[in-house]
Amino acid sequence: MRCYNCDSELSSNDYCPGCGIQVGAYKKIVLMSNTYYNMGLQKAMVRDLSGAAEILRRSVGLYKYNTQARNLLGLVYYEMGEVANALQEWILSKNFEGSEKTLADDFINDVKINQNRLQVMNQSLGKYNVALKYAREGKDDMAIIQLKKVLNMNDKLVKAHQLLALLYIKKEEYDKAKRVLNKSLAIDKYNTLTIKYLSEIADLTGATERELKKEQMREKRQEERKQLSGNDVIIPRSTYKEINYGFFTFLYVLIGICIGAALVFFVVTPSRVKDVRSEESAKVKTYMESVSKSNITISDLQTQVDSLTAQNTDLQNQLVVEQAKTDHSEAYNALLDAVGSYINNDKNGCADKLAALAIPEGMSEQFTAVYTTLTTLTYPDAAKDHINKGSQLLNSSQYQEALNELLLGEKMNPQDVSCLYNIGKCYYEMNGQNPSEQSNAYFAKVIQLAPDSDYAGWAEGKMN
Amino acid sequence: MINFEEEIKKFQPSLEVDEVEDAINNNNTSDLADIFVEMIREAGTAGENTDEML
Repeated sequence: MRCYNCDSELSSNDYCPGCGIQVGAYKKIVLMSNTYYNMGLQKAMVRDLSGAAEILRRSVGLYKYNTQARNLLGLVYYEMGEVANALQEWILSKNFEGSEKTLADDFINDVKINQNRLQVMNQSLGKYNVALKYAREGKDDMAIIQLKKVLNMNDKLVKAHQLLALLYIKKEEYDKAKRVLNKSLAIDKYNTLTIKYLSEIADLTGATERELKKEQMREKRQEERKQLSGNDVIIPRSTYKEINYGFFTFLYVLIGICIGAALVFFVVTPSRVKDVRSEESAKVKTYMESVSKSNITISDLQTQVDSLTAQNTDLQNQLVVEQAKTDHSEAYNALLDAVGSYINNDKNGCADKLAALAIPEGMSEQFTAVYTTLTTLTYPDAAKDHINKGSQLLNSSQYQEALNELLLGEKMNPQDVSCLYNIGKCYYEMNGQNPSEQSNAYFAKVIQLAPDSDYAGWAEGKMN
Repeated sequence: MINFEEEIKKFQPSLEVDEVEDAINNNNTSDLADIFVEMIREAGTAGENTDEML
């Protein structure tokens, strides 16, 4: 320590050995400044940067030539991301020290040597000021955007973390605020403002006191672990480790397998997939062509089938017509049989055979002439015979037999009123002496043909 | 409970690198030792004046 008056080296006495001036109080001031420096150093060593800065400011406030305290203050500012303040302290320190090569010179050169880094940090400070302006004007979102940019450029700027956290708290985004504050605590562990904001968040989010105490205990333990006395011997942790060759062999094999699998997956598989796809597309194309051809063939064949079916139907119709035309042998035979009966003088038998004969269409004129002649000759007598028989059977209550006879009689003489009446009566009796549709039809014919006859009266009586 | 307006007022603009020179020039670097020396000198001057007067 030197005398402020004559610059002589001071002794342990309270006066200067050079000029004799009282220096007791002066020495106390300088000693107090040094004490503050030591305290600041302690705080800086446990990363209580804001506390260290406060103490070191007091130190240089007591004695401005305490360049050690000033250098450390600059270093603390630099660590808190405030590069301009750091430069200011180092430049002052350099000027106060006066010698050619100082510690402050080294710090300044270290900062200036990386111009890009210095520019980025300086820009971050400018942006922080803009963000602060936005925040003061109430433009919180703009401020948050700016502060995020600031922290991307200069993530050590503690007050940017704090301002961002404050804005997040204002927006009630407590998780984000907490994350930002925790990052800030990693830089400056005992910053009172940061801790205040964290406890405020804990209050707002309802974190229990127990959790807070737990957190404080953990921090305390970490602090205790770091505080070492001068007698402690720090044994550096050995970084040497025996190389585990087996593990590395396994790791290399695993990496090789992975690379092989990746090669197969990225090189072989795509080409194989491409080949298979092209083969499949060729096959599909062939199948499509084949299907198309088959469809055309099916269409042609269907047309042919339709045409042939139509032809077949025509031919079958023609065949039926021709068969109908040509198959008259049965009718001729029946007619010849009837003629035979007539020649044998069995007129009734001839009439019965003619009645049973079904005359197909397209018969010859000769056939028709013979048939007509024979019916004219045989039907009247045969009709009388059948009608009589029918009447007798009716009277003997053999209704079905009577009906058969009477129907033959009707066929041979359809105008015979008694026959028609008796047929109606047969139906009437067969219906339990109740009029039926069939009986009424015959009774109606009777009434139509002979309205004034007795048959008409009886018929009318049985119709209702 | 945080008063946001008050809290934001506590944040001060950061010094930028371009402003360092002005800050150093405008900075009052007087310390307690300077004040003490000044006081001693003033006391010494006052003593001499008293002697002269006597």
